[in-house]
Amino acid sequence: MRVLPGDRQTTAITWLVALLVAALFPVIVSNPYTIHATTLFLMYAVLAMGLSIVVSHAGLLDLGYVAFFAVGAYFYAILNRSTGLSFAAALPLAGVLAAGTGVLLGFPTLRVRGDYLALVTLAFGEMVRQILQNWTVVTGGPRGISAVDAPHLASLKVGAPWQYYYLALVITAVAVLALRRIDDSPVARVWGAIRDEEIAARVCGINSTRWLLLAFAVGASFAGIVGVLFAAIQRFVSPETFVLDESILVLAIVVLSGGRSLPRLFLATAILYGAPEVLRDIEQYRALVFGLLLVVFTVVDHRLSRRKFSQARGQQETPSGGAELTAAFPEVCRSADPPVERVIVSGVEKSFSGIRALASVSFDIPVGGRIVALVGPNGAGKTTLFNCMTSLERVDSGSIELTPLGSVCDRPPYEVTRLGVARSFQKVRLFDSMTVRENVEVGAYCRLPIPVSASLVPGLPLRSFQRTSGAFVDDILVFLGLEPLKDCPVNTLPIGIRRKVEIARALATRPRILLLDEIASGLNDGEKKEMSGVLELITSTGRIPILLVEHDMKFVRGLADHVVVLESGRVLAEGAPDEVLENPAVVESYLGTRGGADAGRE
Amino acid sequence: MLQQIWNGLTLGALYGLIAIGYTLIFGIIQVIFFAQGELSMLAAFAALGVLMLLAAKLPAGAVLLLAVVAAAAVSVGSGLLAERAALRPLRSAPRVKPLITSLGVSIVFQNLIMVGVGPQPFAFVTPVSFANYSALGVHFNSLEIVILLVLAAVVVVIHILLRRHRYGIAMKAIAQSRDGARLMGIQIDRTVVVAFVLSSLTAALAGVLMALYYGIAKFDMGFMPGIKGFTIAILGGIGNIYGALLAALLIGVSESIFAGYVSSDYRDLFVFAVLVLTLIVRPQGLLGEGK
Repeated sequence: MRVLPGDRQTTAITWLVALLVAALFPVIVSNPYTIHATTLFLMYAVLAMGLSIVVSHAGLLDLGYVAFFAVGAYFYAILNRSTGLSFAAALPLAGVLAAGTGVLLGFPTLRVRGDYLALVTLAFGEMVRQILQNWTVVTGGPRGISAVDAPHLASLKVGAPWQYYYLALVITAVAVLALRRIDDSPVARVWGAIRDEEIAARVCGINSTRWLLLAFAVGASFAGIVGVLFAAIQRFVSPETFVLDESILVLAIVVLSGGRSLPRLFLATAILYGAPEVLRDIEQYRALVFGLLLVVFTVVDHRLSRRKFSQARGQQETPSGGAELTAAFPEVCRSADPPVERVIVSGVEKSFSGIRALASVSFDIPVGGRIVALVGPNGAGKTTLFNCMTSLERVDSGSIELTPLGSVCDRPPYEVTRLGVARSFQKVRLFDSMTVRENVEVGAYCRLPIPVSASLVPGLPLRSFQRTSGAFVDDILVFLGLEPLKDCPVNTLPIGIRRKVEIARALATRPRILLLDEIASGLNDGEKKEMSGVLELITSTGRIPILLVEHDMKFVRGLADHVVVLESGRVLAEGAPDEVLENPAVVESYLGTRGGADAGRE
Repeated sequence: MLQQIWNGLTLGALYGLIAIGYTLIFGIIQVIFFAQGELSMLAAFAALGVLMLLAAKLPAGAVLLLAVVAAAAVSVGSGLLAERAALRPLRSAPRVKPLITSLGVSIVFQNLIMVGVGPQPFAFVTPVSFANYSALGVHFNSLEIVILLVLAAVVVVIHILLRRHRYGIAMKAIAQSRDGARLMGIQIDRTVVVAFVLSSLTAALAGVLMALYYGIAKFDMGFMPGIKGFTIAILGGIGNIYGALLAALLIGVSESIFAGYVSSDYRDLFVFAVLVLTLIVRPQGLLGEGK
């Protein structure tokens, strides 16, 4: 949900009106059953908000969500019965307990593969149900735990349905405020980056496991808190409540709400929770309908978003890429530490199931203030070498040292980026759900302490962070001529602009060396010329050295200070561009014929 | 003890047939196809339908054969329908979307049977009787031997296919790089369909054998074996058929021993613990990923 500044006031008024109506609801409707049902409706809406953090923001699938709900409910029921734990104390504790359980479950899983979380949570949900069912001494077994205390708030004992309703309404209002804060926060941006392009997020300095774990734990804490409320309302808990069907219901609400719009989420809750309440006859078809809905809605939603995307692309005038370079090098993106002086690659080998991509590559090049090009035919191992330098691939043997950064092998990619290695990708990897500016901001987060608590808790100050990161990003956008396009969604932009956005994002990490993979491919002559200008500005006066993988020999010849030729995973030649590109061995292997070499020079 | 091990091998073989389907699909499109266990369930009900209709009219052997054919047809049909309707349209979508639809498919399959046929377990009476044997104090019957033989046969067939047949080789290519495979002229959609046919067939075999082994068919009979099947796929190394075979037998035997000597109530929890432990200690699986 993106709120434009002008809309902010109207949105606030809408929410106030909604709150007023909700507050008057028990006065207008006096039927206690309706009030009770509406209380449960609010509860499901809050559950869906929590799950939407996991599914819509972080792009993870949690199929055992109701287990965290159970953790909260049983925690309150058990401790209330045995130690008299109060409702007010149980609420935050259950949130923490559920989040902690989420971390224990999520850590081993997310470290391996985000997709496994779906299976592990599905199994976890079933395991929790079985434990509740079988561990009779503690959980009361199939009969559950009854006579749980109703909440006491100060001297008031909550008992009537309307009192529960207001309790739920307060919790819902807090949840709405929290979600609205999260929606436009740096943390949501980081989650979105991981969801859109995990590999690119990692080379922006993001430790994706940690951030996904945060999303999973925050989502779980919502369920834990609602669990306490549920136990207090029903004053009774039993395993029957915490079944897979409930997780599916909440997931279906999130899917139907289609992402991050809160009004749609309330509407979806009303439909999916409310309809079976009203139409008792369709109860047995409930799960069937939810299953169908998950399939049909997801497929249709994807089709529609693709159509919208291609329309946007069709309507948009291609922004001109050939603007004059007027701005100076943005000093903000210069690292406080000295740039890389030498790249020392020694004996690097890398194989993929028997195919040797790199067969002992060694070179030692002073790169300070220069542009060094890596050239070679397809499959020579150029991109693989880049992947090893950014630790996206682990070398089988050998070492890569960037003086004075030290060795880059055996470190996770996000750490390599924080050391000062930034890169672009041959197949551009942008965060496609975001604007130009937001893409670059994610790069900037690499050097800024992301305010986690202020992103999650409404009321804490967030403005000053946004101002700092904003100013930082603006300079880079101006430098690359992207300023006029800063609010465009990147997925509607032509390839030349997308490549520039990727460079802007890389610069925002304050690199000490820049690795650019086929940056000129897909550009027209004007754009290539402009790109050369940009690269020269970046390297000039000893700022940031550039390592370039490139096929366009004319581009390389005009730009590079030094060329390394790779062939079949080995260094074939290296030296000054004119020398190396005239070398007969290079001409033969790479350019094929003399004619090709001439064509390259024309 | 020997008896538990033997029971465990049989159990593991049943899980293994489901695990192989999972690992084939995940290996090629990197999606956990949750409905794998439900395909087995549908197959079991298809077989049951044939048994009920024809048991009195045809000789026992012929009925069983027809039941297996019907099971395979229903499973393959449902698997292909799911692929076409729920997965293929989302090939370029964020990864969470095909996961959601594949879960949706599994819910739909379960509930179609629950609503259409009934939530209660149905007796799955075999048309042929299985001979009982006893050796070294272990009781076993010919069905259990058949189950183990079927698993062995499936592994051998898939092994040959992946080594020799062009679709097998295409599958391995797509698993390594979808873009690269497309550039080489491999038809992605058609190869994915072949993988779904294979995995649906193994699911069908698992379903019929499970129903024969337990003597019942029930709408949720595929749920737990499905989860365990994927656990096995991870433990063996995702995408690795031989790993799945090894892991299936290991999980089957250890679950059976756990249930016999520690607690039968918590046998599922035991397998879940193995899953979490695998992710912590050996996330790439026993034999490594994708072969």
